[in-house]
Formats: sequence, C-alpha cells, structure tokens
Amino acid sequence: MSPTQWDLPPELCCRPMAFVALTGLDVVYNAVHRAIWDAFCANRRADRVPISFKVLPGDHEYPKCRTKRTSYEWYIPKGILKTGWMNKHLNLVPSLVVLFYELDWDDAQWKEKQSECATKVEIVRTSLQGRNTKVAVVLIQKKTPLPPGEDVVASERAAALCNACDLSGKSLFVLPHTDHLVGYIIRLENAFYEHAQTYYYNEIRRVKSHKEFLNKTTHQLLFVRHQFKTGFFSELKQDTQNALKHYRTAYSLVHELRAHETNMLEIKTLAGFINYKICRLCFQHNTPLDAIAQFRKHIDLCKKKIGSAELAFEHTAWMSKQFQSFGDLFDEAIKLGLTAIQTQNPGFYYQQAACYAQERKQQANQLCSHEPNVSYPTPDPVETASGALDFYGQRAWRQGHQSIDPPDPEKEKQGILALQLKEKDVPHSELIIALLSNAVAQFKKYKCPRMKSHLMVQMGEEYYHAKDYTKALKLLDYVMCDYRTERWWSLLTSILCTALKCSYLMGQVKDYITYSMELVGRASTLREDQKSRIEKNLIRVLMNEVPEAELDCDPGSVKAAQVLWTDRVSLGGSNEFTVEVQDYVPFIQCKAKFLSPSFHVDEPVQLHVYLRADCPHPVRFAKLCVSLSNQEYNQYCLVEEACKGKDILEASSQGNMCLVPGKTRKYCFKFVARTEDVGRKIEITSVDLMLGSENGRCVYLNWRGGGGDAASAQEALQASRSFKRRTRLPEQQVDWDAVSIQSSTMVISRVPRITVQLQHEPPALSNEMYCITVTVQSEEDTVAKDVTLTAGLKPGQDANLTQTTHVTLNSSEVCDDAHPALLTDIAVGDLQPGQKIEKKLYIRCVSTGSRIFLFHVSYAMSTTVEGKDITCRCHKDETVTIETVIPFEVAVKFVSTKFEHLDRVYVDVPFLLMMDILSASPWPVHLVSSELQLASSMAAVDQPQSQVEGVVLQTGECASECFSLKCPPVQNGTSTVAAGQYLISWKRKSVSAETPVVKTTVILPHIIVETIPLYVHAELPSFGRVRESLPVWYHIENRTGVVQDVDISVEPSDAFMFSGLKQVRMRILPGTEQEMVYNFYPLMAGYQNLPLLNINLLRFPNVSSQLLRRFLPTRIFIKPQGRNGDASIEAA
Amino acid sequence: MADEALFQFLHNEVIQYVNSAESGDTENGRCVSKLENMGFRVGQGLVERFTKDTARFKDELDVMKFICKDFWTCVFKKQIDNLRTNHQGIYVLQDNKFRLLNQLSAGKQYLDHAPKYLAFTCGLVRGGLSNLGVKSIVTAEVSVMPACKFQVMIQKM
Amino acid sequence: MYVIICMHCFCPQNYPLYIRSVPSQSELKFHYTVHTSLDVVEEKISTVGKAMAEQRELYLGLLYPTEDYKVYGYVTNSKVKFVIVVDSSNTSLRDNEIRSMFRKLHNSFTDVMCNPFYNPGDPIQSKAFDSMVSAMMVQSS
Repeated sequence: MSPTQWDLPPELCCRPMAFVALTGLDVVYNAVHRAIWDAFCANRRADRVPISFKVLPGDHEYPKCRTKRTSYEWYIPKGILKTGWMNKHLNLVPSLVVLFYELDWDDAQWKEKQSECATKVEIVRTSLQGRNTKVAVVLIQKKTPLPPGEDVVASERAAALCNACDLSGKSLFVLPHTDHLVGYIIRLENAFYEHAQTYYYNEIRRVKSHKEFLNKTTHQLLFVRHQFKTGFFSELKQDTQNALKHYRTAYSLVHELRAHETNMLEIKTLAGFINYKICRLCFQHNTPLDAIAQFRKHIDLCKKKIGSAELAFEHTAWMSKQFQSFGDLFDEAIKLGLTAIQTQNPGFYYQQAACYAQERKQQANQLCSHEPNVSYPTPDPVETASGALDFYGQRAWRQGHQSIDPPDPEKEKQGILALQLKEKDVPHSELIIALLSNAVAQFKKYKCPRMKSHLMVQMGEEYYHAKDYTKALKLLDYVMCDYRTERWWSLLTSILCTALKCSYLMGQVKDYITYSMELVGRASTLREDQKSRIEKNLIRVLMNEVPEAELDCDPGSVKAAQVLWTDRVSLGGSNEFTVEVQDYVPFIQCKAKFLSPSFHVDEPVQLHVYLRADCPHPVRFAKLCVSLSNQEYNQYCLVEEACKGKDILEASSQGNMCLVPGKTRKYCFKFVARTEDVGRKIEITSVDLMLGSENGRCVYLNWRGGGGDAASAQEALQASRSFKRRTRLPEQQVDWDAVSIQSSTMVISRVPRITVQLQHEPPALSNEMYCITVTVQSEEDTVAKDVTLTAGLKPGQDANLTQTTHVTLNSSEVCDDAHPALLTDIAVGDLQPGQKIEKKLYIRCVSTGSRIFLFHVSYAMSTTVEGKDITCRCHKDETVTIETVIPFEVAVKFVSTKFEHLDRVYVDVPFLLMMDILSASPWPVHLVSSELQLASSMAAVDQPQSQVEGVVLQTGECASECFSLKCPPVQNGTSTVAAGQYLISWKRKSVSAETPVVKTTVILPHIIVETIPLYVHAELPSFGRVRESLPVWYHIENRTGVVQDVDISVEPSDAFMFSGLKQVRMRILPGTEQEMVYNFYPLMAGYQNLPLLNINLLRFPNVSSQLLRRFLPTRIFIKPQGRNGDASIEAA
Repeated sequence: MADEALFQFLHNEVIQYVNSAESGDTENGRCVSKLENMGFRVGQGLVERFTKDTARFKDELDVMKFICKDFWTCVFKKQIDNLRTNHQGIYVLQDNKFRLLNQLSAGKQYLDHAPKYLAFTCGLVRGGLSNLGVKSIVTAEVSVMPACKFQVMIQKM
Repeated sequence: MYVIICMHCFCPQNYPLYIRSVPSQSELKFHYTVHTSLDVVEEKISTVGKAMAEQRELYLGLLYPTEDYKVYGYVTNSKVKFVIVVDSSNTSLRDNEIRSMFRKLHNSFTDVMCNPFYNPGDPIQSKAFDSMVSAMMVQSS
C-alpha cells in the first residue's frame, strides 16, 4: 500500500543518528577510496558508533543557513514544525564534514598539495556558512606512519597543514592505506563521533538560547517546536534520556496550545509525532509500562479532539493510525526481547486500530455520499505549489494560518469537499482487514482463541462488505464450529446470517441450504418470522426455484445473484447434495435405535427411527433410508413416497412423510436377519433423509451412525440429568428426550429346544476310563437334522490339561496319548420330535485336578419367520467341572523278617517288601490283580504271588501284601540298587465287565545293599514252656574269604537259665558255618526276652554285635506250666 | 443444620424407602445406584454453597483437602481421619468412625447392608467434586464397622 | 451501560446460562466482548496453581480494558463464570463495588443451584435471580 497522509513520516520513525558527510572520496573509480567507504558503511555491527555516513562531492552545496533572527518581537510563527526539518538534520546538514585527501608526509609536491587541500577545505567551509558544522581532514597515506614524535618531518608538515587549512590539530587525521584498514577506520569514526556529539551539543544550546526571547502569547508554537528540536538533537547525540525529557515537555506543551477547528489537525499530528517518539524511547529504555501509560494518556487526551464534524473520518483515521503505530512499536519491542502477556499485547492495539478504521468507514459512508454530479473542485485545493506542506498537519489551502476562523469560507468548503471526495476512494475494507489480520496473528500468539475467532468473524464481515464473498465465507465457515462447540447460539446465529447472505449472493446452493437448515433449527436465536422467511426460501430452493433475496444486501449484488440463481435453476444435473449433519445443528433431528441389543435369528430385527423438526413450518420429505453395516438389509429400511410437487408445504399431519414441528415421528422397520449373520453385529452406519425431489433438487441429510448432531450429545446429557417430571404423553406420541440411540445390535442364534443331560459319577479317578453318558432329547416340533455333538475338554484351559486328557467313544480299550482332548462334530444323526438319544463318552485323565468339560450339541432346524423359510442352526452347550483324584495310595516299605524297618538290606539275607494300598476313591475299587516285577538286583525267595487279587476296597480301606526277597551279592560291598516295579490292575467296582482294567504301576524305591562279613541266625521252636528245656541253635556263618576269630558270649537273663558255652572264642573258616547249641530253661511265662548273644568279630571291629543281633529273634513266648494238660493252653 | 440426628434419621428413612421401592434380583444394585444419584445432586448443591467464601482451589489436592476437612465437617461433624493418594489420581479417604454407620452394630452382622448406607455419601463426594470440576468415580469399602474408606478415582478429561 | 453474564462450564464448553444487558443496538457486540473475555478467564483459571493464596480469590478483577468497556470477571469454585461489562466512562464504580456485585450474583446463583427444579447446566430462568440483577443494574447505573 502506498503511504497515505496518515502514515507517520519515515524521518520520524527512524532512529536518529549523527550525520557525517565524507567528501573527497571517489568511490566509483578509485579502488582505494572504495575500500575506505566500504570499511565505513559495510557490515556495521551494533557495537560501532551510531553515525550515518554519506559520501558527498567536495563542492557539495549544503542547505543554506537562514540568517539568524536577532529578535522574536515581531515574529509570529506559522506552524509548529516544518515538514523538512527532521529530514534536514538527518540527511542534509552534517554534524561534521570530513575531507579525504591523498597526501604522504614525504610527498614530492608537498607544497602544492598542501595548498590544494587548503582550498578544498575552504570550499566546504564556504558552503557551510553560518552553520556550526566542523570540517576535518583525513590524509590517505601509502606508508605506515612512524610512532608519534619520531617522524620530525611529519609533525612539522602536519602543523603546517593545520595552519594552512585553519584546522585544529584534533581535526587532522592520517589514514594509512595498509592491511589494518578497518581498525584505522574504527578509530577514525570514534573521533568523528566525538566531533558530532560536540556539534549536536552546541545545536541544543543554540535552540535553548532562543527561549529567553519568547513570550507566552505569540510564541506558544515555538515552545513546542524548540522542545521537540531539543529532543531530536538529543536523540542525534544519542542522549535518549534527555531526549525523552524534552519530548515529554513538548508533549504537555502541545496540549496547552489553544485548540480550535482550524489547528486541531496540526495539534493532533504533532501530538501523535511526539507521542510516537516518547513511546519509542520508553520501549527502547525497556520501560514498556511507561510507554503504555503515555499512549493511554495520549489517547485519552486526543480521543475527543475530533475537529471538524464534516471531516470526522479524519479523526478516526488518525486514531486508527495511532493505535496501529503503537502496535507496531510494541511488536518491534517484542521482537527485540520484550515479553508481552495475554492481556497486554500488540493485538489489542491492532484490534482497536481496526475498530477505528471501521468507524472511519462508517463516517466516510455518511459524510462522503455526495450526489454523483458533485465534481472534484478545481483548482485542487489540496495541491500546493511545492507539492508538499510547509508545516506538519496543516491544510494546503490555508498554510500558516493560525487564527480561529478560516480566512476564506469558500476555500474552506472546497477543501473539505476535496478531502471528502478523496476519502471516498480510500480502500477502507482493505485497511480494516489488514489491521484485523495483524491482530489475529497477535492473539494467536497470546492464547486468545476466542478473541481470534471474533476478529476472524469481523474480517469475514468486512470481506462481505467488500463484496469478496468467497473469502468471507471461508473465514466465517472456519470459525463457525468454534461457536457451535461453545454453544453460543446468539453469536452463531449472527455469523450464519452473514454466511447465508454470502452464499445467496454467490449462488452457492449447497452452502445456502446448509446455513438455512441451521438457521431455522433449534440452535438459531432468530425470531419466528425470520425463521419462517428462511424456511420458505429453503423450500423454494428444494423445489428448484429462485429464493427471495436476503435482507439488507447490496442491491447491485442482489441483481447479479438473481441472475446466478436463475442459471442454477435452469441448469440440469448436479442437483443432489449430501449434508453431513454431525457438524451442524440442523432443523431436523434424528435418533435411530434397534429395539434390542440382540435379536435371535428366528425373530425379525426391529429398528425405529425417530424424526423431529424444529422449524416453524411442517416439512415434507421424500425418502428416509437407513444404511446398515450389511447393505443387504438396507432395502427393508426405507420409506419412500413420490413427492407430490407443490403440496410440500401442506400441513397434512396424517401424511407419513410430513414432519410437524415439535412432534416426534416414529418410523418402524423390520427385517429378517440372514442366517450367515448369526454371531455378527449389525450396525447403523448412517441415516439419510431426502428432502426435495429427485427431478427437482434434492438434499440428503446424512446422520452418521444412529443420529445425533453437533448439539445433541449435550442435550441428551442435560435431559438425563433433568429432574423435570416427564409429562405423560398420549399414546403413540414419544418424548424426544426419552429416546436413546442404539446404533448396533447382535444377531444371535435361535434358542435351542433340546435338553442335554449328563450322567456320571464324579470324581474321576486318575487313569481310569471315566464314563459320561450324554442324553440329548429333542423338544422341537419338527425334525432336528444333522445333530452333532462336540465333547471333551473345554478349550482355553491350561495347556497341560490338553496333554493329560484323552477322550474316546470306544470303551473297549484304554485310550492313550494318541486320543484327542476334545472330540469334535460327532455325528448323531437326526432327532425326531421327542426322541432321546444317548451317547457314552470315556475320558481318561492322566493327571489329577479339576477340568471343565464341554458338551456342545448343534443341529439344523427349518423354521418360518415373517413368512420366510429359513434354516438355522441351534446349539446348546453344557459344561461340567470334573475333579480327578487318585484311586488309592500305595505305600512300599522294606522290612526285616522281624518286620523291623530297614534302611538297608544285606546280601543274601532275606527281607520283606510290604505294600499297603489305601483306597482314596469315594467309589469301591476292585483290585483285579497285582504283580511284582523285580529288577535283576533282587530275587524272590519263593514264587511271589498276589495276595490282594480280587479284593474290593471301600473308601478308606487298605489292602496290604508282602513278598520275601533276597539280594544277590553286589560289588564293592555296598551299593544302591533298584527294586523294580509294582503293577496293580484295577477298575471301579461299578463298571461292567468288559471295561478294560486300569494298570497302575508303582516304581519301587531304591535300596542300599550291603555285604556283611558274618551272618548269624537262630533256630528255635516257636514257643517254650516254663521249666521245660528249650533248645536253641545259633548258626554263625563266615561270609568272607578269610579265617575269622569270633568271640561269643551269652548274657545272663532273669527269665532263663541255660546250659551251653557261656563265653567262647572260636575260629571259623572261610565260607563255613559254626553251630552253637544252647539249652534254655524258661523260668517265667509270657513274652520273654531271650538272653542276649554278644558276638565280636576281631577282624571287623566295626561290625557290632548290635547289628548282628538284628538277625536274631529277641524274644519268645513262654507258655505257663500246664496243670490241666497242654491241650487247653494250646487252644488258647 | 437443624440437628445432626435429623439428617441421620432422614437418611435411614431414605434408604428404607428406596430399598422397599425396588424389588427383584437386581434390587441391591439398583437401590445403591439410586441413592448414589441422590447424593450426587445434593453434593452439587452443597458444594456450591460451601465454596461461596473460599479462595479458588489451587489444584486437585487442594480440592480433596477441602472435601476432607470443610465438607466433611459440615456434613458429618468431623474430619476425615486419613487422606492418602498415589499422586496418580487415586485418593483414599478414611473415616474411622463414620457417622452413618455409627448406629449400626459393629460386628459382621450388618456388613452386607453397609453399601446402602455408604452409597449416598459416595454420590455426595462425587457430586461435590464434579461441581468443582473434578470428574471422578467414588467407591466405598468397609472392613470393620464403623470405619470405612472412600476411594476416589479421578477421571482425566 | 451494563452487561451481566453468567456462564457455565462443563469443560470444554462455555455456553451462557444467563445474559442480561441494557437493551441496545450493539447487544451482539457485548456478547462477543463477553465471549472473548473468556480467554482471559481461562488463562487465569489455568494458572491458579502458581498464584499466591491471596491471588486465588474468586474475583478475578479487571479482565481487560477495551476503549469502550471494562470487563470484570469472577469464577466460582464450581467453575461457573460471571462477567460484568461496564462502560469505560463509568468511573463511579470502584473495584470494591464490582466485587460486592459479584458476591451478590454468586449468592443468588447459589440459591438457584439449590432450587430442586433447577437442573445444573440449564439456562437460568429464576425470577428471583432476574430481579436481583435488575436491581443491581438500576442501582449502579
């Protein structure tokens, strides 16, 4: 955009820097000069001194200095600030002129060159006549200078040159053109900077010195001007603190000026400038709050200074600019590191600027709506001879005029007219939109989504006013959903209204319909009559007619729109639209529900669709269809009726296709599910409602799933919480809030009409063939075909159970690992009504524990639903949990022939193996036989024979048997040997004879076998009698290959007297046996301990007599002496 | 409050009433959920009243503390005895002598009936929290009468 | 000029429960002003954890100034927001008065909430509430 009169001048907005002019440099043709210039101006970093350099020719004409006023007595200022002043001091009047001159100290033509240099200095001086600007000379030299004081020629000639040029020594510099150019340049410019500082210091003093000549009546303007100038020079001097001080003074002075219509603009312009400077410096000083406070003050002071009412738009334009430039300053400060907050960011200023721009537009519309025959006045009153104004903020046709009344009312009138006509051409909307979009960008940054939306609405509306309907719609459409989700219906309605106008003016049929549908619906806050108008238009569009124009539209645009609509209407094709309503709040609501979360396949699936219109007039629709996940059913969920042309508005409440506002209508659908869909879900994917007609224009309202739109979820929630008593509605009418959406249902199989019974005797005993009898009885009225049974371990249990469970139908043999855990699809055949069949199933559980068994009976059934024949499969499941327990426990122990527990056995010494079979089964167990399978390291003493064969054990009973065994010699004297295994064949007592027996194997424990060097055993009668001789033979066997000496003694006993060797040592040859005979004479009756035999082996001291004694009986039963003969006692 | 006894008697009667209105297999569950819903609405209103003069709550924990102290004191004349949290949205409020159980025999005899006597309070807490912007599920548990624990599970939105 | 608005918040919605303004042409503009002020309210609510105890009062103070209005906010612990919009030129109202107006609103709102026939979240149609607001608007205009 080209700068307008309201834009702040660039010389105000820039950062003032000391102006230093460089002359004598030929930067075009001289490479050395070029390098020097580049060193000055290229890559100036922030740490370099703030100087603005300019290369000027040596004979440059500087602005002439006006002769200084000696008295202010008769001087009446014509304005506050000349338009050229700032630029003059920034770019035209240098604070220092530097003359570059190539001259070495030892130059051959020193004299000539010295005078040439002096001449050049003189030329510059003459041009700067009257200014305080200093001149400095820089000698560009080829040689590196010697350290100061060493080069005598140099100092001599320098002094001479200074003299010739009338320079102070401080103003003469040497610039050796060597490698360190930049370093020298930096040193040089620091020196220049000092000169510049001095210059501006003097300027400030000069301006200040005027003050004493001023008086308050005629020179008010000068007070402001001088403070401003002082401030500006201070800025050039980089003394921002003082600059701020002076600007502040200037600011309060400018408001002290007497303001009237003719100078209002000038005052405001200057106030705006000074305010800008103050705010800028405050931000620069990192005191943003001061800046904001100053700006607020500024606005408060100026807000009411409207000036001429006929040019009110000028005030708003100026206000807008004030806010905008403050926003720019704020934003710039943020870019330099300032942090802004949500409630104080540049966005607010841009927003306010936009606000004023909008106001300006309105005022311009009011004030500048001249008759077309009013022409622009000639000569142009706004034009000046120079093309620019002399003073800021003055009127071109009366420059310098400071009194209250305009000098020439006619001219004034012409001027105002010219300004008004010019204002007419201002692209207001463009300005407003630019400001709004600036504000949007800011608010986005500072987490103000709602503010952002609001501004976007404004932008959209502005585009609408600017007749850019496409952009308007785009913006409005974008923010609409925010207001919808926040449920601010009043705001949504207003946006929708604008959007509707846009879509009407563009002839956008689909958008027009969409917005209309929402505007007549429940979310709209429009009055009933407005809704009615929109609905009628909507109906027109649905009937493919041209709608009436929207209200308050630009008449020109309406004309164009009518043409567009007529075209649309005549155009065939593309007359079908689908509106997906889940993002809107349309005027028809929909809820669809399956009556039940599941339906059996032999009953019809029922589905209700509820519709309700919220618009003012009844609506007729052409078609209602429900789409289901299985599209084959869609044909059953359809209501259709040929639309009868014109009667779309007729309130025929009986009409099935007509929705009466506020009444809920219910549509019922029914269909038979396909048998393939058993176990599947049927979902409502969408509900479509067709409005209009296929031959005219039709619109499908499309509800995703079982209905619901952007507002319905919240409404349902509120309704569910509501404590309002539900009013009783007459039959056939439905309370809308009470209807809930049920968008899916399951098709489940027909209810079986058979019984499945299980007969068995739990628990199962491990390893047995556990018999379960399955009885299936039909209660169907017709034949159940193709009955199959799946039985066995229910899948999904512990994986180990599958390995340890086997199922078979064959009872004749024990099933093994090859049999599966679950028998599937055992064909049973057909089942006549009432028929009963039995199936026996044998299960073998190898491990104990509980298992769940499944009995799944399935059959096919032909039936009729809703007049349709279907064949469906029914099934019935029965499960049972069966515990498996062990039938009996077998305890095995090794005992000596004296039934003493043995932890080891001795070679060739007989011992006993005892089995105890303890029944753990709740059912009687029939032991069929038992068998001992000995390992090679064991031998039976005689032929072992089962002693428990045929025994029946009741619960808790125990059967025992024992076998006499002997171990053959082993190597190494001692070793652990296996004993073999014990086999029990058994079955339940209750099972039939053909049931195979179960063989349970018990692995016998290992036992330690030891070789002993000496074996002793006694030979004695089974009982003795008191005072009768009792002969006892002790056999002592040497089992070693060496001769053994054995000490034997018999301990005395109270119960016996005895004869025989009481103590003897004898020698037994290898492998032979000695016999010792004792004659015991019992003295007491009853069980008596035999006298102890002590045996000591001299060769094997570790074999104790205790050990050997274990082979000998320890006691014997002694019968009392018979008085009445022996017979009676023997019988006892 | 008119009298704390009044609330207690009324509460008992409400349970009686709701209990007798519901019959059938699902009776107990229905009864509990009805009482819970009643409590919810009461909690909403109560909290609106109680928080009128408090400062805004800092966070979730601040809200829970309010429930344990001010809210509990107002309703039950005592504070919660122990508040624990896993800092992941689960709070356990323990009342060692819960007023609505106090008149029931302390043994195991009425343990089965305890849920009905706690449902209203669960709802009260849930409603109160919901009105303070904290969505939750509140359950109660009794092991020894009359002590009980309320578990509040915050549902993140 | 006055607008008094209550808003309910079942997050994330902020729909109006009650709006009352001095009838004027620019009613819509007020609605927008109030709606946009929610940005500040939400920011203030979300940063409450960091605030000092004394800054955690229900009265949120001046939300933001526009050229024409001053917008004040208040949020109850149940996250119901009250907003009062006052004409910028109305300098007679001090912060304390605004504060006490909010207290009144809150008290009255509490009564509404305790009404057994009021369903939390529904628009407020209570006559008592209405007349309280009317009285307040008359009093301070």
